Amino acid sequence: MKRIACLLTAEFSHRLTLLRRYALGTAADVLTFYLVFVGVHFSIRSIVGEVDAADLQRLATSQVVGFLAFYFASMVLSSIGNYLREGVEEGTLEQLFLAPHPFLLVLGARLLSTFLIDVLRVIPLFFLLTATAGVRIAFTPAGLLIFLVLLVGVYGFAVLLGGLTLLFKRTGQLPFLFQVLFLGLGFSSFDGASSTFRAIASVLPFARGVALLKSTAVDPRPIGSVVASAGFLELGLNALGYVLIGVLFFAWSERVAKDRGLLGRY
Amino acid sequence: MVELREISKRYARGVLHRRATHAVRGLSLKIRAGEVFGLLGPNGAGKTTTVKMICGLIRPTSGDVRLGAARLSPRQARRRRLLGAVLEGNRNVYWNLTAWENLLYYARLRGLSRRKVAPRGRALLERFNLSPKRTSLAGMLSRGMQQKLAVCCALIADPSILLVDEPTLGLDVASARTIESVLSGLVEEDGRSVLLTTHNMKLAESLCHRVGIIRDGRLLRVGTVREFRGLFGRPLCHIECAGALSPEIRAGLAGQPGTTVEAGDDAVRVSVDLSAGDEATDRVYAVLRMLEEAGVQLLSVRREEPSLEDVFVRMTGDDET
Repeated sequence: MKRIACLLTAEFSHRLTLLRRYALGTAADVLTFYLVFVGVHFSIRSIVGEVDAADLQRLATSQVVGFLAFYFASMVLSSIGNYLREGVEEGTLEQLFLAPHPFLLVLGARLLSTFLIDVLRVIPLFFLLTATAGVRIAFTPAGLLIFLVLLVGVYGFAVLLGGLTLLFKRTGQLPFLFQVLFLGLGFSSFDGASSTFRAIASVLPFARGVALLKSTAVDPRPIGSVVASAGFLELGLNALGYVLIGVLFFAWSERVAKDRGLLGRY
Repeated sequence: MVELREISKRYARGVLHRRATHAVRGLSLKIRAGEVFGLLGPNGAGKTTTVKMICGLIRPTSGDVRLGAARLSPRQARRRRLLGAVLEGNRNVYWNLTAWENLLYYARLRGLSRRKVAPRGRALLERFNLSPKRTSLAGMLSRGMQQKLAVCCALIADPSILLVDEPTLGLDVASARTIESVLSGLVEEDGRSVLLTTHNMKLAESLCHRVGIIRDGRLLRVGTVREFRGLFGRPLCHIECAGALSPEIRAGLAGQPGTTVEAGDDAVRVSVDLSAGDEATDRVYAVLRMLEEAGVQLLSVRREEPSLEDVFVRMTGDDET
């Protein structure tokens, strides 16, 4: 336990140091996300046209919650690929494999630290979004639970993409592709899309979670009712599936990378 | 302390894996506790692959790697923090962290608390003259300092086995000398096992207790530097004389065992084989006496040892040795 605590401290201190050192970059990131929200939010409002205040409030709440979920998912998706790719480019990845822990544990510590740093980064973004959209978001236990399960699935998916990065290195476009898809899901639903597209979107780690999260934010429900729902069960199974597939695929990729001597090569 | 038993690495190539590159072929080696072992070989000989197989970063196709007194696998050795490595061509450290932050990060990564690491980190920075650069970003340090910092980070958990892959590659003369003195300090003071791979023969000669020469993935020979020097050459004493030697003197010198005479344009070189020990010294004095009595003007007297580099070139050249 002590070693794991040291590992978490190492990763969190590292992330925090970079956050402080590159505060301007962090601010630019937050501003970029904010501008994306502003652009999409007001575009949708102009398309929707005149609606009554209650509906507008529901729409805005749904968009803010969806966008915040997208923000975290986007960070998770890009972080693992960046972490591995930069590690190979910088020559630090092999040093991480020399740590006295399994690499997946080191990766887990890095992801957890990145999540905590993202929570710090999201605070100003949260206030900017709610002020711009003119909504108040209540943090309900049910909403937080759905958010965490959603993130677990996204982490599993990101670990899977991380395995691909370990093998093929230049996979930067892959997370970007899913980030764009998740952005769409964060703002709206794909109810009007073709059945094939909806079927594909529904098995992705983000779709079910964000839909449930938005509906819970708009129509708050007690946690017991959410947990007992079929939608939550599907979300849980989806997340569990992605974690299992992600971890197994990553472990396989690590083995192949060691067989082919790919860890130090870009 | 480090034992490699018949390790081989074969990289499959092509879509159907029909072609293969043999990076290392049946390499067996033992590096003793407290020994500095130099693995020498040309580019592509299999040095880095061997080091990475010891680290567990590359999986051997066959064979076995055992580390430490308890003969652990690389993974077990890492878990017990027995292993530290500075790998070739890599920065090994985070450029956007300071020297001190890098040390703290790697120490924590290896399970050391800040309380334990602070005195050790300070001592390492002090020892490698990096204390004044403690708060400098690693990316702002010179290549030599970055390499020293990488060695510090590898040593922060006090591993009993240190692997250093091409530590002077790409460094200027001054930085290479700094690294040489750093490694020399490690050898003299710490008594840990060090595996060093290098092209720098002077570095190997000055640091290694034993060296092994590897070519095309095969370990050609292992021995001490002295043993290697004795393979293809003998120590000689060269006496340079001005002008030509008379036929009588030449005949007299030819009568001395182990002595040869080569005539140049302006000078004559008399060489005496020194491999016979005390007897050879007597021969040198006898030759010098003969030349002095004949009134020959001496230009220089120098001893020449065959270098490890000569041996390396002979063993790894195109000609089969």
